[in-house]
Amino acid sequence: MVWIPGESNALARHARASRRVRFEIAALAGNPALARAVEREAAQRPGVVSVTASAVSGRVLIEYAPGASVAEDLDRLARRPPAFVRPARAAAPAHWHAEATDAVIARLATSARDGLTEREARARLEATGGNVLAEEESPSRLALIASQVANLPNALLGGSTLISLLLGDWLEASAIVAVVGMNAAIGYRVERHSEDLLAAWRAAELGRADVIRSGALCSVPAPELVPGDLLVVSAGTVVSADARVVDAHRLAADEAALTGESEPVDKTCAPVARDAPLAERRTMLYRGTSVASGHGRAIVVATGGATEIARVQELAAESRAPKARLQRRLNALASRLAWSGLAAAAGAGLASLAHRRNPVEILRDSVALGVAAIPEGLPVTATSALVRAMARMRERGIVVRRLATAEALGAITVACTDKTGTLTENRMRLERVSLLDGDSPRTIDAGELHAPGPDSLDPRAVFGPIAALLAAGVLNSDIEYLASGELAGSSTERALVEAAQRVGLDPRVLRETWPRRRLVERSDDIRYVVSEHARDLEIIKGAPEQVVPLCALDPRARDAVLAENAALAGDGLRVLAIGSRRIGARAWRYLGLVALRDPLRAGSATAVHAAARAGIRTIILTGDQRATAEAIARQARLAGDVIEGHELPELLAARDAAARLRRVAVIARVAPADKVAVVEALRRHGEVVAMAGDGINDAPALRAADVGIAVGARSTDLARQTADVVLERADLRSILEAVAEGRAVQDNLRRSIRFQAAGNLGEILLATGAALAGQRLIGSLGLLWINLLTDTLPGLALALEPSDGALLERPPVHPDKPILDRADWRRVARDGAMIAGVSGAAAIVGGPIAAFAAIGATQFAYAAACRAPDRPLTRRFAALVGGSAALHLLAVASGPARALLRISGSSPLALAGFAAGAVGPLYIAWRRQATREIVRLSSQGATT
Amino acid sequence: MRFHLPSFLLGAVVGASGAALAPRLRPVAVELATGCYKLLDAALVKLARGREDVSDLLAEARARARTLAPARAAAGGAS
Repeated sequence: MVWIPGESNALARHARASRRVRFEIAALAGNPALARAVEREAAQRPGVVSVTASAVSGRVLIEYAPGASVAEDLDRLARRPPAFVRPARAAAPAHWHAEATDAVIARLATSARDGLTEREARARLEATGGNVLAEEESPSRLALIASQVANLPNALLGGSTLISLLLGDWLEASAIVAVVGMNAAIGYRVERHSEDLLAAWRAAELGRADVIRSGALCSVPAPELVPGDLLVVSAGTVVSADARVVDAHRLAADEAALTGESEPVDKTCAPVARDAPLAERRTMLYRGTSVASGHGRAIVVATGGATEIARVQELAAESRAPKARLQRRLNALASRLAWSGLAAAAGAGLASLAHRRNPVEILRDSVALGVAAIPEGLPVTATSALVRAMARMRERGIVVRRLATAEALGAITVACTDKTGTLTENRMRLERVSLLDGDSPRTIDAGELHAPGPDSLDPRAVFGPIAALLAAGVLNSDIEYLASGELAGSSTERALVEAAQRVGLDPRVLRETWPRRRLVERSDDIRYVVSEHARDLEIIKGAPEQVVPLCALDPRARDAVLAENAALAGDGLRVLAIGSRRIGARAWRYLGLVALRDPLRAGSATAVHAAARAGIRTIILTGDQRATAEAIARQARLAGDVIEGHELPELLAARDAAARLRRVAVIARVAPADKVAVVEALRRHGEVVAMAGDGINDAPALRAADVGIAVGARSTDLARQTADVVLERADLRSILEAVAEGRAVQDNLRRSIRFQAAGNLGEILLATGAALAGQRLIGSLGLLWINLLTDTLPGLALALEPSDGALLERPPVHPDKPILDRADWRRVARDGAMIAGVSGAAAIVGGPIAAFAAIGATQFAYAAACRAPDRPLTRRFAALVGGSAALHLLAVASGPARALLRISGSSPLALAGFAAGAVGPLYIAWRRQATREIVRLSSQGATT
Repeated sequence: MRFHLPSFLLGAVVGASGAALAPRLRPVAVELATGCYKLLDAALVKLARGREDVSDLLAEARARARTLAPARAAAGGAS
């Protein structure tokens, strides 16, 4: 039997009839020396007739004799499950959560006291591989370049280049290639920079883990953890591998990043049910989550690709990444222009043939006309507009990973957002405290809490009860101070400590004065915690409906307190009751209620409101329970239906699913797969969907959305890797800034493309008209010159115009609307005819040179008329359009340049043609500007 | 041969750009060549495995036809 330790040995085929078996051995590929060694070693086995190992295919063929003992071995091997024969990247799912700790320890051959030995850990690391997730491969340089070059406009240009080369017109060919190269270089540079930035962020995230090996505590790099390692965790630890808890002291983990559950989940050692869902496996700690409070030990059971995070990552990889709409729309436009160019070229060619012109000359002119039909400036214009938008967004902390995303942002119609950590801060904050004033509760807003001033007459009278309430809360809490001075623990308890500090209490002094001796933790039925302290003090803290009845309160006061609790809970607050007593006393002394809230992020409500004004509907997707989600929606002023995840299948299968989805504002209790289903359903119904999230559980939906947005620099690695846009600031208003930029790109692109299409149409009409009249006005090189000069630079100038202030005051452009609609095409036809008419008139009066000068000048002046209303003239516009006009003027006025472009005529005629061409559109531009100015002045007068 | 200014200028520009861009283009060239080699290796592996698969198929068919079928026939005749 041939077996190479540590390598993948896979049985490719075994046929007993022919007594042949073929193995795949990964290490064999490209290693002839190993192939010979394998042949030598295997041939010595009894019963083996021949062995052929191939270093090319990486396979070994063994032929054996009838009745050879090796046949039985091979048969057995063939019957083994594939997971054994071919070690899989991820192990088969195990039910570690349902097994007793002793069984886990025995199965993993480790110790709950001393952990693994260093030697064993090294051996396991070699056998199982590093504890790293398979990263999504960054696109290679070639792929990046290919993505910039491989589009229809460039393919059409490539075809034109080829024909030019075949005709020997290398100058024309070089000019076209230069434009394509410039476009690809810009796109490549920007995308590469974005990938580098994200790679740098990822590299900064590799951590370390505390483990016990050979009985001693040591810190190892997280990628070196192996199954069987004994992890030591405490509040604040980020878990680096999936692990089974074997020792827990008030241990709770924050699993929001994995399951979406915002409250810490208590962890214990007692096995849970085999079929318990991920969020309820209380015996497990999962990679990517963090320990919220307490401390404990856990045995690593899965690393790298076998962890739960990796499974979610696979789900993210399987989700479909939609193709950018800009690409589709540009392709549609390019095809349309290509067909019209082809028809025009064919028409002109037929007309020329009727006039018995030289066929080679006709082909050359047809190519020129074909090129004229393609706006060469289109790719570079689109790229530059998108790059400009990306750069502007980056200045505001919005990293856009793909060029096309910058445009897609402008078309968003629905924004799905995760709640915890995206809409809210994932950080509890004390909002109100309630004290008993006689028999009725008195609520105090947390904003009114502050330390007593030095000149306060009787601080105890004003702050006594509040200070007692918060001091009790602090003493009862399981908060640790990290070396950095930060607090580690559940966000609820951190909030209590912070509030205590605000009223002038020092938690460390309190703990030194009343050190804790014992803690009676909550269980499934008992939803409060009792702590015993020095000086005979006991404190109780927990669910009001259980704590309040234990307190010494008369029935009226008790009812009033419970009513107060209901009111606070109805407002979406998390409420805890706190009491204290002397050890040995029967009843508890009621101290008060504390009400906490996971606050909305600053600007979340404004962002939701502004999104609605911009025609973008917001849907909250959350793993939280319905009441919490409803309260958050109320705070965010989001109106609409609230449903739960389990209602989704029925809703999505319904006939009126689209209409019902349009009414939904909140979907509570959703799993990662539900989020993907919602996003895909919305897309199916024609919406352009943005998904904003920060956790690992958001990654699949981020991938499936048209625009995936990772919120905040602290969003998980997986979310950032999957997203199209990364917001450095966790502020949803940034999304609207990005939307405004996307809309500016759409507007500018539409104006620029309209300009280029009208110009090219003018050129086509002029050339075709001349051909019909049996004339050849402008040669192929001249047409290309006009086309390059009037497309690229003025097109760029229009595409890079500043954004309009009112972009977020109008609804998004319909996703399926073509870049140019019917009205736009009518304008293109009218303006193209005007350009051709002016140039044709110049040709009749002054000959080819006048036509050549006029057709350029008309388009430069037309660019000024195409500018957006209410925008001041920018230096960039003046430089680009003015520069192009100057170049054209130079070309028509100078004899050698005319000779190079093969245009005949004199300078005075050229100058006259130039002036004639420019005057008409300039007049229109001036009139529009003047009208706007008059309207502006009159509206100013009306307001004053 | 006549001196042609535009050709000369174009040549000079192309030469200068080539010299300036050469260091930046090297990684792209390396990646391009690596891709070609990978493609070639993958094609060779496919070819070799294809040949092996055909050889396995023929060997099994031959064995069934010449060994198993006569044996079955003999067993059938005996019963």
